Amino acid sequence: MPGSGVAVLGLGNVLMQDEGIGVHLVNMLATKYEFDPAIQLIDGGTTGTDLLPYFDSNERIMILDAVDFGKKAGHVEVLRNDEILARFKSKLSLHHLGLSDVLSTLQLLEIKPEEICLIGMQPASMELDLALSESIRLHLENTLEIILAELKKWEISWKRK
Amino acid sequence: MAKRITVDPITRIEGHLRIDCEIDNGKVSNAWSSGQMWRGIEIILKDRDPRDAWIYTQRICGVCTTVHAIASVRAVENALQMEIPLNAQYIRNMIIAAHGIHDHMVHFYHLSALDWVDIVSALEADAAQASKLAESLSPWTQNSVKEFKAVQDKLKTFVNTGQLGIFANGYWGHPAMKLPPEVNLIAATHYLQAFEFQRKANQIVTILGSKTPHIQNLAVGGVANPINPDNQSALNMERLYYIKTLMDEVKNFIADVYLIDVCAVAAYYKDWLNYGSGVTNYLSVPDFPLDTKGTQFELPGGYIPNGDVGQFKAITSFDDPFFRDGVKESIKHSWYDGNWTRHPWEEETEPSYTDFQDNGKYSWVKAPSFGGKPAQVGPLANVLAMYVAGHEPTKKYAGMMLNTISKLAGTQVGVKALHSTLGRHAARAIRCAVLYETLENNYNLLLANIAKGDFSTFNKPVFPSGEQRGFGFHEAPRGTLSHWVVVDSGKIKNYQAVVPSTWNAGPRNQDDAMGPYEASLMGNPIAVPDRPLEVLRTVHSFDPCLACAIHLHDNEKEDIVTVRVM
Repeated sequence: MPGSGVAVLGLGNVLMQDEGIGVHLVNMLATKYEFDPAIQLIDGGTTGTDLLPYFDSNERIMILDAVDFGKKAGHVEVLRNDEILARFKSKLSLHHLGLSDVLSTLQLLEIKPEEICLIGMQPASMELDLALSESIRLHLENTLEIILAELKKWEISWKRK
Repeated sequence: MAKRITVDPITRIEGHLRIDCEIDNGKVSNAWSSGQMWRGIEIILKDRDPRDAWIYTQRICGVCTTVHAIASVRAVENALQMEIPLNAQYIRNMIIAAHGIHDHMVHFYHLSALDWVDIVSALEADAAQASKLAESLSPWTQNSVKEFKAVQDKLKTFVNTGQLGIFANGYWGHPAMKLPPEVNLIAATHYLQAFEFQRKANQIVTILGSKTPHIQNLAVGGVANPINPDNQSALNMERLYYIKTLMDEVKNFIADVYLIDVCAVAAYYKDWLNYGSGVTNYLSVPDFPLDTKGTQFELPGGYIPNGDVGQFKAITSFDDPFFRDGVKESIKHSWYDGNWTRHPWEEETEPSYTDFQDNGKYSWVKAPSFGGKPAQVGPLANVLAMYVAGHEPTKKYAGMMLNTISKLAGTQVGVKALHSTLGRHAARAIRCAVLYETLENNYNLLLANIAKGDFSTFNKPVFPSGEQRGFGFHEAPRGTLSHWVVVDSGKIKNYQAVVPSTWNAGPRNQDDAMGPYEASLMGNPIAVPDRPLEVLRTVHSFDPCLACAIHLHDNEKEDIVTVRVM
């Protein structure tokens, strides 16, 4: 178990093209970088409350997900803590039910990680396909940089493998 | 004039199910069940390596990832007529037992209890009375006044600050809510405690499967867990003992809390032991293979037509033609091109959307049939089959539950009452207790086999040239799941998954016979048409989950449940 207390959860369905952005991003973090101190990188798929243990056993949790901001494909926004659930009151993450249930359940169980941050990326296409759409692929490096910058705030450093 | 109501979506979890009902004189007089998304796993798998299929199929659904992995490897193994090492069977059996326990607990407490339990009413309960009542029913150690008071205070804070959160969509104060405040408080408390215990069950899956939510240890031909009692990185004694610790903790929660709570709900809502039977052709498959070939099973399964247990016919092996030849799917009322009824090996997946047509096509779900008839699947079908097959643990727990319900309700409740909305909940609790014994048994078998010096976990699959056809079934938490594969020279030529929610949520079939959800709603009372709690009760009792019955394809959905009354 890494000592950093940081977990990155990638959410989404990899069978549905950009729906699976979060999972693709977490896999890219795992294959391209080494982190110091080590962090937990989790492919959360489209599960809901199965993810609760990760919130309980880490102080800082980053969620990567496809989010419908109504912006251009590849647009990225970072939401923090209470802001996430507040924004879920209007339509937001495509995993709305699963993720908002997890976050409300955390409140009920009095599980309070120090920080939760959601990095959402606007998808372009969600057809049945294992590969991300071309327009999303163009923005992946930019999103990775945003993710790494957020991790840096949590005192996680990295080097390319 | 009948009133029409539409509830969409009907579940809290992934997947979109729409239910339409006509209400006449306060009762449901017609019903339609419609899957609102399209599933296309079949298309993704075409031309892939059959050894990888399970990795993709466990992505079909966010709730039951494990079950699709298991059914997929079994289908390919069946196509190749493979034998599986005993250790691999035991390890898989432990994974599916632990997963089933986890899933049944989550379903009752976190996905459907709030159809029966009024959280707001729990605020008015007398914690001391609640504790007295709970302790009279069960030896559970966490039923103290202090425990109940703490939960009540927590709920008060939640409600007073307007932060209902996960409880926001409940039908609080609905006239069909009948539990006294004290029972509501007991149930709400166990709702919170259940989070801890379902998690322990899932931890067993994590340890054996290397990872959740997606297990990593399967392989066509066995499992990838190296067994070495002394090696730190293998499945060793330390890990196995830790699993035993987790098992022991889960055991008491099932027996002393889950079973008792379902009995209490059934006793207070005994009317609901009369509603909701619907389709009484019951299909389940045997599971937990105890030999390498899949001809001996710990839990029996089979087919019961017309609710007549005298006509029960067992399914006896992974190769049984009775199952293989009995399954067909119809698209007469589904959004696919044409109008055929075919065996899964012969199906094609050509979507063709029309509007919602009451008498035409209205769902993405196909309508499966067994021997030409719609069939209900799920824990109730399985428990009835196990009961009639004389499975002792099933008879023991069914007897215990029916006695407790009878005692609490003050009236004799027999096996017949299981053919109902609440009967499905009771059967799920019975099956959960049975699964615990299965888990324990397979744990003991695994340890004994390792002690004999057998460390084998994998037989290598070999793909001959030409075509092979296979099917793999699994009695999953929501019922009979089967994957059907046609392999051609080492590549997938056709792949179909006939999932539990397809059986239950299917639309009318080739003969216009209603599917189980639809039929079960007929005659249900509806007290308040724009708050159709009763519809949710019956449909939720099947444990609906449509992410796999059809695909998650709909990003246009509303945030909250829409109920339309016309």
